[in-house]
Amino acid sequence: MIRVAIRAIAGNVIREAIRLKIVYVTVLFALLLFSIEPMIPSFKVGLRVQLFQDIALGVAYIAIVILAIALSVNQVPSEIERRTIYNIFSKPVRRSDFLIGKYIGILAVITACAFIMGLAVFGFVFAYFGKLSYGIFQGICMMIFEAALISAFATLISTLTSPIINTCACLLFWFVGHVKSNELAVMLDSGGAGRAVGLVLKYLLPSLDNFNISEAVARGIIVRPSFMLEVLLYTLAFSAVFLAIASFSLSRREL
Amino acid sequence: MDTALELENLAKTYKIGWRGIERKAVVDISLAIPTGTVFGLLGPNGAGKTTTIKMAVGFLRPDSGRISIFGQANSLKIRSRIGFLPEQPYFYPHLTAEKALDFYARLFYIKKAVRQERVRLLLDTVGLSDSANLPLQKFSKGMLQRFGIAQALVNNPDLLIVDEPASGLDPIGQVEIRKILTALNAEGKSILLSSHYLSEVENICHEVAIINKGTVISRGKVKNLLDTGDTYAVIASSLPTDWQPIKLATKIERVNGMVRMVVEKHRLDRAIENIRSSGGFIEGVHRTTKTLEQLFMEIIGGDTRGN
Repeated sequence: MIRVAIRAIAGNVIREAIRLKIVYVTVLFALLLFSIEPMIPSFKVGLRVQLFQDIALGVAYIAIVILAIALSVNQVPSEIERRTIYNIFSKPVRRSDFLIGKYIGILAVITACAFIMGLAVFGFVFAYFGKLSYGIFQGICMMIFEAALISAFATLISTLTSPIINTCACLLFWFVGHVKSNELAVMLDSGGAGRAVGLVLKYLLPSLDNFNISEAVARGIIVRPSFMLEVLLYTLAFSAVFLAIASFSLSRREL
Repeated sequence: MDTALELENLAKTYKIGWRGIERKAVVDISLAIPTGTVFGLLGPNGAGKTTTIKMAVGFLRPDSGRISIFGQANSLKIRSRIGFLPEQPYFYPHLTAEKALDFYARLFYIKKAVRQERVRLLLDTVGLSDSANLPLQKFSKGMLQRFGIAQALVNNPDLLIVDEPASGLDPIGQVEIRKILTALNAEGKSILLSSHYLSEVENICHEVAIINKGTVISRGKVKNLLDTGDTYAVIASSLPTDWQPIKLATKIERVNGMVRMVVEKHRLDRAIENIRSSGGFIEGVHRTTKTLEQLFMEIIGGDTRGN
């Protein structure tokens, strides 16, 4: 059972996100979908569905990654800067509970927004093309997993540095996470420094390519549940490591 | 008497900037705050008051020294007995007073039914019942300060630590805060109060410590510190213009036809005799005391710079 303090802090993150109208991102996304459909060239129906899903999920993916970074980078620094953190840590709240509460709150907002976007794509595909594409939800789940990982990384960096540097670090994390699997083989073959860098990236950072199933979804292929479970465990493991380091970092920090 | 908070030889040095330039904020501070008392921490800006309080609450780690709260080291368990109001407190502006207090109460794992009752009672105590559903961003500074006290009391603490509670408030706001703190002490709560407002400290504190440059310069019961010793003030009127005061009066002041003469105890009878024999009327005699402001200025003197 989640501790009351964690729930209270998570609830506050959700309230703050609603107040900041971050959920409007999903409304914007839905509006964007309306504009995509007429732009799709008139191929065969199968190809048009595939193209529409591909583009729609791509837009949803970008929105979810931006949402994860935007929500996560400022959670800890803003509490310290506004000094609201004094009213929390003077109470019997573990610093790890504070971070976990923040993280759960962020994930709740991302999950809600992502599912609304998933429903919008699913509804459009059904309304325009008459197809029930359940794979869309698998794609959305993978996006949530990836966002969870990015958010955990951003939470860790937020205990160390400013939101601007954190945003840059997150973009780098995302970039390295995606190019890694393609470029790694080349680096490993090159020997010397390239090999060393490749090995560090391979073992220290998660491969975000694992989360990309948009091509399969667009083609109407249903991904194995066991693969989804593997990716979920992969996400949980890396997120736990990031949050553990973040907790250690925050516990050492003087306020 | 048991101690609510005991600080022993605390020291803290900050490292500033990437070059790690050292700045000693607290050099050596030892204090013992007996349970049930209001203890004032006085000092000029940069004296080390806030750093001391931050170490006591657990926001900063002392470089050396020991902190004991109700005989125990600071822990999650012991923090459930502390209430803390930081200097210039900030709260989530979008929350209403009621929701914000409920949020802080949840951090103490207080059950919902108890929470609701406690929130209602506290808002009433600090006079914010009418503003319970108003977002905190609409609160005035005085209201926010009173809300700050309410959030510090949400766990019904045994020890209340308040840093500059009257900072930036108008005289009415200062009096309100003073009344609340006095009432809380009457309920048996121990209070550590850091303040610039000497009259506030003089009025409500039982004991004070004056600190400067990170060390305790003077401490003790307010009554004892302000006692000037065996000197008395004799206030007289109707004295003739050619009246000659007795020699060795410590101080003589003339205001609106009245004379205030300060004398040592062993000269009191002679002073009274002197006034009577000159045809003057004794308006009153009382033992003299200093104000805390006088004491503070004597101790700190012109050297009001921090480290």
